[in-house]
Amino acid sequence: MAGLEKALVPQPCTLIIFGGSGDLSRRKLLPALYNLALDGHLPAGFEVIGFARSEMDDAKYRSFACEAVQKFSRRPYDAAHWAEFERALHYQTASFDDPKSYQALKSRLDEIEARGATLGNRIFYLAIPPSFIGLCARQLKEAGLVHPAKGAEQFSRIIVEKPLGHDLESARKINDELAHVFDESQIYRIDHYLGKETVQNILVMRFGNSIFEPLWDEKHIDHVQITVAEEEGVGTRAGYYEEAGALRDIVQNHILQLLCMVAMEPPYVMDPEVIRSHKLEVLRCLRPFTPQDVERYVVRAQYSAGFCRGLPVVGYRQEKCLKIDSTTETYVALRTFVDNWRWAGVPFYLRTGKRMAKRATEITVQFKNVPRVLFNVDATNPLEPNVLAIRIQPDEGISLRISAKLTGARVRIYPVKMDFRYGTTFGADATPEAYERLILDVMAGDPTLFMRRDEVEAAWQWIDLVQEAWQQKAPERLPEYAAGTWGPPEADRLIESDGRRWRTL
Amino acid sequence: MSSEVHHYISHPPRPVPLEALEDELIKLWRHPEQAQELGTHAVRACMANLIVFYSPAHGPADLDKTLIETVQRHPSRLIILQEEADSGSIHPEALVSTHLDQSHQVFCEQITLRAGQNGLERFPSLVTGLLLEDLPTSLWWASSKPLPHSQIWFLETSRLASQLIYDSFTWQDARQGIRAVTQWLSSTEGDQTAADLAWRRLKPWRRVIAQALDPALVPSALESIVRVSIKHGPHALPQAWLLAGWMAHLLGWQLKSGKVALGVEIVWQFESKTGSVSVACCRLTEGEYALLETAIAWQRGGRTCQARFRADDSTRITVDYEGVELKPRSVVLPQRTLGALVARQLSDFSGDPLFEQALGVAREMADALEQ
Repeated sequence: MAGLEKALVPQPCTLIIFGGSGDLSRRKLLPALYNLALDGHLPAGFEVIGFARSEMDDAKYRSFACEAVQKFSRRPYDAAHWAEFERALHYQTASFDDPKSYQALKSRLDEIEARGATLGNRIFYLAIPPSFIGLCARQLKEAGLVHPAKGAEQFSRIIVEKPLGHDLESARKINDELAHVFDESQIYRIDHYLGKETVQNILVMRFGNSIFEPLWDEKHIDHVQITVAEEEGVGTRAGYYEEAGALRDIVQNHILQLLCMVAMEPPYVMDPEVIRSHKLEVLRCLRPFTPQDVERYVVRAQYSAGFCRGLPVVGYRQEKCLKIDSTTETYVALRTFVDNWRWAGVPFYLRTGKRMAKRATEITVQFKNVPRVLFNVDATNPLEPNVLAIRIQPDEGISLRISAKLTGARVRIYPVKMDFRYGTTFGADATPEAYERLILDVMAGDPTLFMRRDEVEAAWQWIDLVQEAWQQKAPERLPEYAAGTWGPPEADRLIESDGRRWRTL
Repeated sequence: MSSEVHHYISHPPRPVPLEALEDELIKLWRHPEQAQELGTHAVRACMANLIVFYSPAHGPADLDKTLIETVQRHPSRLIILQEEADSGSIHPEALVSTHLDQSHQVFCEQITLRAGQNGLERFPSLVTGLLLEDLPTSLWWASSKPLPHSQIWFLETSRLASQLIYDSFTWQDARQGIRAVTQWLSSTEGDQTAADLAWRRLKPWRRVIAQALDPALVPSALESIVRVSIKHGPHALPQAWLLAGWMAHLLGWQLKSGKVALGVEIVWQFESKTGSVSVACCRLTEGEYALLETAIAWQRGGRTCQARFRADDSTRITVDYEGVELKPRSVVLPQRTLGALVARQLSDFSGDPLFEQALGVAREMADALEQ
């Protein structure tokens, strides 16, 4: 099994994209496949079938994909490369609950596989709402489209997108439905954050350098902040978002996965199961919330009208298709602890929001300050503590803030930054999109960067404690923050009551 | 202007749509065309964020050169907020340019945001998204207009900075200016600081006065001061007040009254532990925009002694004494350009408590004139 440091060997296969004409396919999946083709990473035998409700034939789908690549590819469209790539694209109009659609899919697959290049291997990418996952899995099985995990020469794998459910119970139901058809080893639960270079680099930084890990504990770290700030509003996802809210949409998956990468114990080998088990341990060490804790240490809010990058924007409740009395949170900030030996007493401050001051996803590890002697004697003007910032997006990179003496006769200390940016150091073209890496991993059968069932369920179990407390005390209105700001004053008070501050990103 | 500025290559500003600003700035550093001109690697400026509010009708002449000198000395991301007084547009426009210091191989980027009076409210949300994280942020109020301390756009913008820099040399109305600054400071909950470039220019004066009246040199002079007379050129009144405020604060003088006499002279009465102290500020109609002369008189054994500090041709401060057996002395008055002063202030972002105390006394002096 290949790990992070080993060369990936993608196997020949057919990729069947459920929702192949949808937004995710257009913006991410098709451009990702095109870039993989440009890099020569795709296996020699590789075909794609778009499987979706829109009425299209192969030619129209190729035209749809071409437009998507021209608009969203990280590298420019190249007509010669495209001509070669588009030959692999096919389309099958589908109704996900109609067995005939699956028979039609089977025929297309038989036709493609008869040519032999894909070796009969199949990857089903479910880029569809979670309510369809169980249905589609069942239909795939009934149509005889799934190879067993063991005993077959060919493989079948399934990729499912977040959100996997809206609470522990619904997540278990989806997982059970998947488990009726697929073995756990065949299921790839995608969280695209894990495909980002910087996220993978967290492990390299921690365990590939000798200077960080000795400091990576409660003795040296004051606190950790994880921020996922979005500039956009709900946009076209209003219906979904109104039901989900920020806690389910971002904290349950992206933020907790980032937290796991930062807090996990060193794996003894780069084996997917070992790494995922270590992440699971972190989730299990998260301090459970009581209803009183939720009231004190979790802040939720909604954005009101304001300015984003100089442009006026409406408040959440004024967005199209939303209820004027909605109490769905568009912002969450919370304080939690990882109750184990390494992290005892170190607060983790997590926050996410829509319509915030800027798009930024970042993990910051703030180290304890130096003693109040020598250069740090002035209590009214303490030295700035060292901060290690791991920037996930945009402009992925890592920076370390240190104190340095300014030149001159007097000792004057100034905070300076050591900055590493992927785009600048390795070149913009060298940084693949997360989906490229993740699709390649599925082809290679490497689940390291995908969530295992127990991880997903442990995350929901922890999140449910907050949701339940909120349901018990449903407010008529949530606190508000003006669009284009860093959140409500309640969130500032949450961290400031501990003598700390949110970082300005 | 320092000759080193000639080592700079500045690329002219080009318009960028607001929504594309972030991508443009990232691209800038991924494909730094200027690095090719340099023929070597160059690094990005990463010491500070400097927000500059500028209004062409009320700002320093040749701001561009001043800023280039500033970032040469203290490499920073420049975010210039330019008020277009004649424009009714509420839609800010953005321009991006870069400066490359060939000698130090450092790039600085400059983002200029322009808006009419009605568009100023949009500045804070734009600036918020442009700040480089983890770096000290200063706002330089490069305008002769008093701080609009009660306007929301200004308050929101100034909250993004840990330090507000201004230059009282440009003020038309010293009283109004001092009030605006102190009112802004009182709204900051103590987590922001203000810095007057005039206070920084005053440093050699403060140093030479402290040395010339040091108790080891002139015993009992400081506690026996009876009169301070400050002569200054145009626009240096706030600096003179700061000098008086500095002395009053350190020597524990209590302000009793103040009045304007003869139009060009203002006189305040203080009470020290040993008696009354008269402080007079006299504006000369000619001369440098600077402090020109300060005379400090004190009582010693029933007679009046005096130390007179005089700026000679802007390069030295000479001290001579009357009534005490001390030889004249002089110290160099360093010449600092505006760009150099701002750069220096950027590194002192944590504030100077002594300045704020002197400013507090200056505010009392301003208020006393109306009573």
